[in-house]
Amino acid sequence: MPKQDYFDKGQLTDLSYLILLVLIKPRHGYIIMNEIINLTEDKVKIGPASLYTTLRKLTEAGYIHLKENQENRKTYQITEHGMDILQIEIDKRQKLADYGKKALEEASYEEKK
Amino acid sequence: MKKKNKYWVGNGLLFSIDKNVSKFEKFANEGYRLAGVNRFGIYKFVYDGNPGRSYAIDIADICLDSNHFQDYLEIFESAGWKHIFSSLNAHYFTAEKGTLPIYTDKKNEVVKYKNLFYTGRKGAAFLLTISVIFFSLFFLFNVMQFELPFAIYLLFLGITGGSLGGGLMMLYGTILNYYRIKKKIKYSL
Repeated sequence: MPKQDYFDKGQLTDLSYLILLVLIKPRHGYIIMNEIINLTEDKVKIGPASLYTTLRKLTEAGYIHLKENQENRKTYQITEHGMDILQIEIDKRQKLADYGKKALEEASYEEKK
Repeated sequence: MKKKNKYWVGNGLLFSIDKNVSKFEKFANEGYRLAGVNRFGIYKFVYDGNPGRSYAIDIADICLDSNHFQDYLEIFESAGWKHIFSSLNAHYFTAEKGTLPIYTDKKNEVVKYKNLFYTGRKGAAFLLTISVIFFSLFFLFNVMQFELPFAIYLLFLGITGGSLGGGLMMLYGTILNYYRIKKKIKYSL
């Protein structure tokens, strides 16, 4: 029986991945969008409806939760379960990028021969 | 002198959100801003002379009194989208022209059509059930030859016809959204 495919665990879209990264620290909902713009150096902008829908899905999956702080304001933050998934996801994306570089190197090496 | 208010019956959100938004923006170009909707579903526009606005309609099931709704509105506000009003699970927003659209990915936009699908399905089921009930009553009373005034029969027939027509339209809208969902899911990886 083959081991569960390494890449099957914690399938996250790019958007969910970025949101989880931003929510390692607790944040108000309306700040998240700007934090993602900062994190990605202006490359990724999310629409408010896309953001809200994803926050809801991540909350239902148990990857983030909504907490009320002293001033009665609500903040989103990643859960322990979410951190585990995030770690797996970062490793996976790192490996995928490494495989890509390796494949390109081998292809250009073949060409030079 | 431009008329102060305009009214428009709308295109049925179940069928086409985009057509409604296009009309709002057309009125906006003429200087009319969307102000609200009355209980019959007729939109009201007020003249304020400012052209060039964008509009967006989101379909989301959020309890209007809850903190979640406040959170939802704040997220939209931070992106430049001001809330105008809500009608059931449809939320209307306006922003300056050129503002980033409320949905920036197809996968999440599918949720909007899923919500419409569920609303349509519930509505169609309810209306078609009403039409079956009232038709059965009409038929039953006819068969049993009850001595009811003609007006009552007419009423039963009217309700049957009205709810049948409405129910079929909602069914059509539901099927439309079902295929929209299928089509959008096919294109999102």
